[in-house]
Amino acid sequence: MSTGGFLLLAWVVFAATMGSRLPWTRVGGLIWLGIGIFVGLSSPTSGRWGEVQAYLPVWLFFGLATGAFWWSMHREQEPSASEPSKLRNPLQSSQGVVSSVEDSADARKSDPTLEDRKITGLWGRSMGVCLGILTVWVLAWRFPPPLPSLDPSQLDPPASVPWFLAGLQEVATWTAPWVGWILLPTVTLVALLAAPFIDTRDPELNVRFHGRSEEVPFFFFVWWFLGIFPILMATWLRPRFWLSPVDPPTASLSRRFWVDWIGLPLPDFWPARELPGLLLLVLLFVVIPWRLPGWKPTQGAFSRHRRRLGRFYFPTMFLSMVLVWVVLALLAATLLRVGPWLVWGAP
Amino acid sequence: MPAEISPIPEDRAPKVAPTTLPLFPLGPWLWSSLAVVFWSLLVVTGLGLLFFYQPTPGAARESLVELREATSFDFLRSLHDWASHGLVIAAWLHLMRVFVVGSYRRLFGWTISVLLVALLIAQAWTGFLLPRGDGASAISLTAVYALHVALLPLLTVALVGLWRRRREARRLQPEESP
Repeated sequence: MSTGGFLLLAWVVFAATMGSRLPWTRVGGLIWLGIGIFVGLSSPTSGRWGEVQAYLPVWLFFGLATGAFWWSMHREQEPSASEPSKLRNPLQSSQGVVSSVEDSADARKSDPTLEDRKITGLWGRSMGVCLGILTVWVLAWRFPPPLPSLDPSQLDPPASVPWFLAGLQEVATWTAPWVGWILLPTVTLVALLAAPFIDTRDPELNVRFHGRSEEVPFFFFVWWFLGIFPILMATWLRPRFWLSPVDPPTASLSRRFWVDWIGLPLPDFWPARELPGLLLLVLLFVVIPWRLPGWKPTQGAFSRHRRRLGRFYFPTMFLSMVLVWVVLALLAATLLRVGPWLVWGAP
Repeated sequence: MPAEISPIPEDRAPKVAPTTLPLFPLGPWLWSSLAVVFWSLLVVTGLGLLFFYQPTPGAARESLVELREATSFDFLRSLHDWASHGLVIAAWLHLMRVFVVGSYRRLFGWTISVLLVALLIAQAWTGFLLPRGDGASAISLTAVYALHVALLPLLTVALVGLWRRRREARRLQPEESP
């Protein structure tokens, strides 16, 4: 058996033995994990063994992230072994909020398997850690990383940035360097740090997926399209579509507006010259968040959202809008890049 | 008993799965334990690599070529490299887990987690740059080297220490009387 097959089997056995039953959620998680790894191994670059070192971490990350999230989505209210006292005997409201019960003596009485679950939890965690070390050890032994090339022509991605930053580089390629390298990481960091201020519910309440019908889809949207998708684009698709027939967007909105549409030369006074862009920014980041709670199709969800967030509504919507528009721009750029090859065939 | 005071009708009561085994991908300690283990592995292998790597332009890559061809310690470099991938993956999955289960509402722990992930990514990035330092100026390479082997690891230790100290302090706090 190959090294990859051995590791895959080890992880699958680990995952499969972690449950006393096999509900469809776990099978679903395994199927997704399998698909992720299968697609990874069958990708155009996987056959080139010299590049395995560069691509394998991406696929490990992709497979694990997919599996873990698919699992968690269908987890219902299953308590974790390490926080049993908070999740036993849950009281669930219609919004899916599970209140915590701290009385571990009661929990133990009502759940005779609690101690077993704790022991199993420790055992499973230790096994997971051992498997992680084994994976890294075997990969280090089987695939020693190549030294960086001295040839500048070999410095195309992913060799020029580590795989986990390739997504940002992809965004920077298709927007502007400051968007990919400064704005996006800053917004992401601020959004992550701001999470406890946005969701101000009691930390002791265990609010899981069922109670978060708005946050979870948004999180998945941003996570997949901003976190995972650009990395896949940059590592899997970029080597094939690097020589795109479509140039990066260099169109100037100001030139298009003043010269092409109005028929005037570009104004020298910068606020006037940049007026179309500024108006667009106001539309995207002020008018749309302001109108969403009042607009009929979006009234229901967003008026609730606004009531709940209160004074945090506009900062939250600003952060959300930055992320959403970057995601949409990235998708559009991807379609522009990959589309022509799909229609007219790859070179 | 909480079940007796539950205002929820029987048919709408939460269905707690009759499982006897938990799901570890979402358990609170798997990914963070892995991250700690990988980080420790990185420190050990990194200390070994300090004896071979030369952070000067022109010698950075050559020192690693020499490590590979003239010594039998290239496995250190390989393990260091793969453990760094593992660390980034484990750290991200830990952050995702915290978000998924809603623990981000604990402000202190969440802030530490986010800063730690940012720090670990910075460490992985500076580590990625070091073997490619031949084209850089001496001062840039030295700065990246200092960040990688001293400043960023120290900050990481400080943050983890802060988190542990707070955790111990909370554990020692007397419980409020009912």
